[in-house]
Amino acid sequence: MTIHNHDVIVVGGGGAGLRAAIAAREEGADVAIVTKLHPVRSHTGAAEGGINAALREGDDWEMHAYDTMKGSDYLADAPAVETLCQDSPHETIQLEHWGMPFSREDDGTVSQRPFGGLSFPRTTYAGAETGHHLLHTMYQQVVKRGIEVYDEWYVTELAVTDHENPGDRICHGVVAYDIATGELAGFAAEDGVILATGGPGQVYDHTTNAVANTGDGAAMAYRAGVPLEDMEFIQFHPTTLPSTGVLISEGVRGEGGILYNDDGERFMYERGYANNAGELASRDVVSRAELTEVNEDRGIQDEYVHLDMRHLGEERIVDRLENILHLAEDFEGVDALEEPMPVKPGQHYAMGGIETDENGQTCIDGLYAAGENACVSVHGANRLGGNALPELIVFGARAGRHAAGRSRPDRSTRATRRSPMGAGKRSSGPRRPSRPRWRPNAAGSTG
Amino acid sequence: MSTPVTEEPESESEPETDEQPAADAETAAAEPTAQQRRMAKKRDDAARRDAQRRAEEETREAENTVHLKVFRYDPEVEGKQEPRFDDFRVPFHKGMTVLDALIYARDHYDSSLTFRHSCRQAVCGSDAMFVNGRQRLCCKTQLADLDEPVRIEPLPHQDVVKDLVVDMEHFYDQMEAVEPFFDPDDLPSDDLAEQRQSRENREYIKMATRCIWCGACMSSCNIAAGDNEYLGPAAINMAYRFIMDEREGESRGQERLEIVEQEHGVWRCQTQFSCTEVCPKDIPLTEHIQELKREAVKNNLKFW
Ligand SMILES: Cc1cc2nc3c(=O)[nH]c(=O)nc-3n(C[C@H](O)[C@H](O)[C@H](O)COP(=O)(O)OP(=O)(O)OC[C@H]3O[C@@H](n4cnc5c(N)ncnc54)[C@H](O)[C@@H]3O)c2cc1C
Ligand code: SF4
Ligand code: FES
Repeated sequence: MTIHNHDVIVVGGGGAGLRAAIAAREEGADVAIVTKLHPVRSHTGAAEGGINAALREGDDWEMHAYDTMKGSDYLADAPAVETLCQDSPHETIQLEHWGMPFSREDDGTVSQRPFGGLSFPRTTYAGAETGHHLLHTMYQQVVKRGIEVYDEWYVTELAVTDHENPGDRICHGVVAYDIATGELAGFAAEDGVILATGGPGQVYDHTTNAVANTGDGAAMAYRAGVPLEDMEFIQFHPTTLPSTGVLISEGVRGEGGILYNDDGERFMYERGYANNAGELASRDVVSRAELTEVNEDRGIQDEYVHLDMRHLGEERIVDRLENILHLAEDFEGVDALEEPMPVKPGQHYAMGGIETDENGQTCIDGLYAAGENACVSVHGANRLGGNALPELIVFGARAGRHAAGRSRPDRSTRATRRSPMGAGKRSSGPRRPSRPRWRPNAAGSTG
Repeated sequence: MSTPVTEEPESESEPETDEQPAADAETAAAEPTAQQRRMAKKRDDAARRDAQRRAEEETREAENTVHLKVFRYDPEVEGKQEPRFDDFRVPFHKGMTVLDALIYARDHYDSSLTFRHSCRQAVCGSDAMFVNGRQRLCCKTQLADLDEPVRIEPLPHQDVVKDLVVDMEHFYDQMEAVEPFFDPDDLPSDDLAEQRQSRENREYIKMATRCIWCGACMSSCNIAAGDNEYLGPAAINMAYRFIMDEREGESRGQERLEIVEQEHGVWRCQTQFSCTEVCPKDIPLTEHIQELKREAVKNNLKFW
């Protein structure tokens, strides 16, 4: 079997994987990305909304942290949330410095918009294609740095020592096969392996996730002995197209789109699901309402409800929601100017995943995780819109730096890791035994 | 934000019902006859309706099946080394895309049928194929818009790896040949300060930045088919995206122009518009190529 040798192996070429690879390279590591899709095919490209970052006067990272904590039902971990919100502005502007075509204000600064659950309009966006631009911008930087990419290589297993106690184990690399030929190869990682394989959406019958989002990284880590955390917290999006799961953004309801059941009732009000917020209630409330309607035989075709925006008028629709018209037409065969769009709830995001600390480190030495397959625990029970993309760049970068083993000396476990015997001291259990209290003003606790 | 709206929706469209209403029951000649005759007639009517419904269902089923002719080829399996077409009949539903049909055929008829796909929403660029004689993204193509049989082939002018999968390496090489990465002269010293870009300039490069690397344009291009070194529309568009971006410096722009101006660059384009026609992201590729030709001329004049 061929063995490819590198310092750092990144599994997955989505937003998290690319950011990790760039960071590891900047630390001087010889890094390679092993990915079953070519990087630009990753599902990060589907994100539309934006990146939450406290960039402007009147906003600050603590407000962002407060919103995130509240949105999480207070189940996120405070140090992780602080790290996310403190690092996000820098990481977001880093993308701009790499040429990402953000939408712009009159003065030439990057645009931000309001998003559900945010106390300040801090969702930084690039049209309706933020994820596409984030993914492509970072892939360009990967090309610039000459980082090796093994694309269409499917990683199947982690190469981990067989110590009894998972906390004693060391990860030395991964095993993968070339999809085109079936050839198996080993990828040895001198410094570390970073899992960035995205979400597990395909576990569900109906999902906004891509066909490739099969939760491979979490499965591999689990088999290697790493705890998975918060796996019960799955976010459902209330407005997805029934045949494909393509997401119809909250923007339609934000502009005044209305949900109807088969009896033509505006059920969010008429059935009392959300008498104040109506269609604009949070994702989980609207999703549950729709499902209840369908279960109680008021769904259309026993499957979905209608999202109607015709009353907004053609002009406003074309001006503000043009991409929605294309989505309905291309993926559902529906002209949304003429008929209501069929929508139903779909699996959207996994808050949980591989348990890591703020540097992406798992309980296995040399094994890191970042992005949707990881759980640093910044989303708790519920992720705010616009908080996943910052997670990719913030924790992707941190995992990359730390895996490269050349980061700030106090954090580096490199010395111990290199000697197989010396690595047996750590406990296997979760390193954060209880969830820390939320302290909104605890400055600098994570640097 | 919004207050409850009391008005009714203009016309809540009827959900399509599958059953045809039996409209003929009571309208036949109303002869004042005996109970028996009425019963007999009822039975007749019922039978007739039954037969009618069955026939309708059959035709509907036939109509509701889509006939696919799919290119097959597998160099590794004996008997599949000669390219051929397989026929699949796939049940149709409203909103069904070519990709849905391929997935159905693979899952129900032949698990060896191979094609790239992932996002199902026209962002990953994996499933550009040659459908009824035209490069299209399968996930974005409604079956209802196509004539039958629907002929599905791999992208022309590319090496076929297996079935509908083509080798994309050459395409990637061309994309990377134009140095596809942002390269400004200098950056704001404050790492929390962005570079300024005008709205107009962002708008100017917007379409060019939408490329999803699907390769449809390259496959449709006659010139690329004849000249393997031709950069091709997508790569030139990539260069355009950076040359026109005001955040990059003048001298970098010069270097970029030199790349696209070389022998196998913009001057090869004969403005046939085939790339522009097939691009699933509606990028005005031919226009961008023409604009770069003009830029190149301007640029050369400067140095006279
Ligand atoms: C429709 C949609 C809209 C969204 N909008 C927003 C938004 O507006 N704002 C926001 O913040 N978040 C949004 N999200 C969430 C966010 O986009 C995702 O959580 C995020 O992109 C996941 O990135 P990732 O890098 O972890 O994984 P992905 O981008 O999914 O990448 C996974 C990578 O891993 C590789 N891989 C997987 N398994 C293997 C294997 N076995 N071997 C080798 N490689 C493997 C794949 O090839 C791929 O390259 C949205 C999500 C969806 C689905
Ligand atoms: S320019 Fe259009 S057709 Fe060509 S690769 Fe990009 S998206 Fe595809
Ligand atoms: S499946 Fe991603 S573009 Fe069609």
